[in-house]
Amino acid sequence: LEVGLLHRNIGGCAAAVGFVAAVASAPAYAGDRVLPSLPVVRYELGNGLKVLLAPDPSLIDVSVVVHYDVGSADDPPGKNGLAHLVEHLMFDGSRHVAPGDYSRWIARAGGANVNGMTRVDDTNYFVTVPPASLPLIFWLESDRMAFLADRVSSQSINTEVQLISDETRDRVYDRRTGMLASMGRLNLFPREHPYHRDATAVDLMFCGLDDVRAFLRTWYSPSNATIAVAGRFDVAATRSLIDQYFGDLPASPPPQRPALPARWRVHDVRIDAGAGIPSDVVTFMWATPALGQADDAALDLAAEILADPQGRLQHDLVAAGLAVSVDAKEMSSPRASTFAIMAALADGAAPDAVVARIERAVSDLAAGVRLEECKRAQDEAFDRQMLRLEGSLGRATALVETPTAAASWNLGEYDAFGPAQVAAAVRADLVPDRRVVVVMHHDPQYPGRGVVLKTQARLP
Amino acid sequence: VKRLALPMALGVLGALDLAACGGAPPPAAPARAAGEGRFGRPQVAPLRYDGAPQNVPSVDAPFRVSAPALGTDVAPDAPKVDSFSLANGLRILVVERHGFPMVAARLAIATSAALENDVGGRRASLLGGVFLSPFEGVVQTSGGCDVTGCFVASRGLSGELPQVLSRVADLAVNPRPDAGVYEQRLAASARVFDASQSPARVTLNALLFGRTHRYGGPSPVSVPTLAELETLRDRAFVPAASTLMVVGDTTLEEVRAHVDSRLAGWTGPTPGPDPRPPEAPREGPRLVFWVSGAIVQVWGQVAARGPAPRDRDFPAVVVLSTLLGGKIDSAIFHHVREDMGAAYTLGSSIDHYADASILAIGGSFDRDQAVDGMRAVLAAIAAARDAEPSADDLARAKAAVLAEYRSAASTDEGLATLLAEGTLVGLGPQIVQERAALVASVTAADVRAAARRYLAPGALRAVLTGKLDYAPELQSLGLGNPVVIDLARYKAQQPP
Repeated sequence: LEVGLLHRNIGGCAAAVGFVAAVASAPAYAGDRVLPSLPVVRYELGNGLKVLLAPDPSLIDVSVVVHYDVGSADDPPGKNGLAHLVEHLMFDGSRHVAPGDYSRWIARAGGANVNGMTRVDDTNYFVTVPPASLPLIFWLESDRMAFLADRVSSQSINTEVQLISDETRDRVYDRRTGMLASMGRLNLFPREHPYHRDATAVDLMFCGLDDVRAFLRTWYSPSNATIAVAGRFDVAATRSLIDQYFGDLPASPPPQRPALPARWRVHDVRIDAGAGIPSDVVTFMWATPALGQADDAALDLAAEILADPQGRLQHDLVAAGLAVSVDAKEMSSPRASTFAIMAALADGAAPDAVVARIERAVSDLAAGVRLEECKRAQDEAFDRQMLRLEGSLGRATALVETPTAAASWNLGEYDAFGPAQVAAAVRADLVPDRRVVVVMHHDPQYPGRGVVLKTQARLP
Repeated sequence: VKRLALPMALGVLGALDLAACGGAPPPAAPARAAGEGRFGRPQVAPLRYDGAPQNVPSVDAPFRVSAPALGTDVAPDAPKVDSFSLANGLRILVVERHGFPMVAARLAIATSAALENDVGGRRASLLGGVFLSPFEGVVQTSGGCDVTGCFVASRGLSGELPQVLSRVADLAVNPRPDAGVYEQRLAASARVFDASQSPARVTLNALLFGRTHRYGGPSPVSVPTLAELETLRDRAFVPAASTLMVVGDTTLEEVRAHVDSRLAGWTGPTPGPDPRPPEAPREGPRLVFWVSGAIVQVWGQVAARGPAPRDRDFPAVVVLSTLLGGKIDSAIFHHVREDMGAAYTLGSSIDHYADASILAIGGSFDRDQAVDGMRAVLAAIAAARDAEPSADDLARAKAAVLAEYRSAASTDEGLATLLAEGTLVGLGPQIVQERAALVASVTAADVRAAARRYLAPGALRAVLTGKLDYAPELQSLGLGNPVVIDLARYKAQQPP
């Protein structure tokens, strides 16, 4: 599975915390929220493997996420898709796990939620099992971390290349508005930026055994990985197992990534496309500050306010009969975020009128945010965080995605942002020279993913 | 958890060259000095890999040679379910779980008696869309209806139980008509064939149950007016046909106190007996091919009618479905995906209704291998009829079924949903206690008998959606001559 920029749901604005052995409990929130006590044990093995343990005996299962700090943005030049290919190969067996046996072992153990996910910045492997099967998971994960290359062959590469082609057709060509994301990436980020990517530009036919082995040597090592365990398990026994299965793997520091531009100009492009979709869709996208940078969390609240079913866009677009649905979101990622507003138009509604209404709604938000709508947004954001932390998989995922968060799991972080900060973030970041507008026109003669008809500059 | 599911990984046909796409070109990039990037900043050098190993090879160890012992605690502990009823007939089920300070509530309303033979669930869909979905998109509250019934769900922090129950009660007891929402939902329901997978899904139901059956369709039915929907609502949304599930960090006493003040005043007629659906026909076409130029892959499904969830065969059919393709370790998944490279997604599913179910196997095939992939699926079905599964395969499939159940029951909302589904299809809330034992009792002989009973050659139906290139090859599937329908022409001929 390869997905894109959408990175995490719990924003992180806490200062970096070193990986040291520690046990901490979530402190009580100063306001009226009752926070759960979710202790986290953090430490690092001698080979650099970072370990995050969140035990909770009240849960009925345990989830493990192994996170590698490498994603599709690290594909070498001319080898687009290599990170994704390696993710697929991770399920094809390793030195002590025969081809096909990984999934058989997981099934036999009563595993659920088994998957891998390649994103632009990282690659994660998930599984949820009954507590007694934790040793099996460490055995499987350590074997493919250390000995995957033993099983990779030209044949397995060819099969997975074919399947990735199928996946791309499924997830891009045959999906409604499948071109939206690349339109955003290619126009919001400069060519020098790793997010300037076209998901369909895959060079896997040029990837061979040597490429896969070099990629594994470079990135798939304990020094570049984090393992998170959340749910019902014994901490001491689990530490012992992790030491046993991962402790003797050799360290291999990954290469340093080049620095990126902090800010650049986006040329306020409007793209009109034809698509075989049920109704016209208008999408605004802005390049916004990266996860954890100033304004990122405030923009989360701005999105909540705009998308509130009793809020501004609902009133201006849906209640006014111009749209059947609206949504807004700040998609936070480590190297840059994307803020998006999307409206599915009602029959007969003019796209230009919707574009104008959205521009006005953003402008109004920049002018001022009401205290009650900010409070609603804070409550909504908090509820989302809590929902995510209810199950073991959500917690394990949150841990690897927010490794530097304080022991509070960032719960309550949004309460630090008031109406003034939200409005200021909108004024600073949701500006014309950071955006692209895509209007997809309903037209059955085109495929659902859409075909670009026209592009035009919106600003002189 | 964030709401806008922008398909951010999704791309365009090749690199998007704005200047080459017609229309006005974008503004010219400013002149750049040597060494500067397009945006006036120093150009970032791309990462370079020389392929040279940077690390020391891992050293093997004896403990890595074989897998550690497996645990045996696959099934979770069965939750304790308390219940009570109000004088108006509303039944309340409560599961106390105090590990995390959240609570979920889910109201299930059995509507089939009120909606009678609602072909394809279209009236139910409108009913839910108009009256139960005004909060669609809000994390705490949702609602809707299908052919098995309606639901209203909400959740929140445990201290917010009063608000959670108020939101549920407000939607269920005082559903308000909204002409604008009605028009929107009507328009949406007319676009049922616009999604690339919809034709296959709708057609399978029609092939298996007929066009006038409750679980069949699509059939040209008169669309209820808003006033008629209000009448239906008054008949359907009644306490005596409803069950409220509350799961999470709360107590029976607390639920009792808050439910009483919010839902004891809810009144409505007592529903009549649930009419049994008519016997579905066994004749009719067995293979339909939707010609669609809109998708690149080929959607293909083989399906058959299965037993009702309360039927004693049902657990064996669930295990059979998992053996055939419910999990990534199934033989057919490996063969079609890993050996043939013919499909990225391939799996099986069971749609269950009160009086029947549908077992479907298929996926999204590479267009050049779609027929071979479908043939492989049919061969796997035949093999399931011909021989019992091995003990190892059966054990894995049963563990996988229980894993899915454990995963669903791991959250308050998930457990509330399991209880609601059990209530609506006649299994009752005790299913959450009995499920593990029911699955454990399934034998290899049961699975083969289920395959022979429900997946007999004459019971199979198939639908494909894709380009027409190879329609003649479809005859080789052994399902008779395909009925070929042009999707674009069909949609154009549909009444509004």
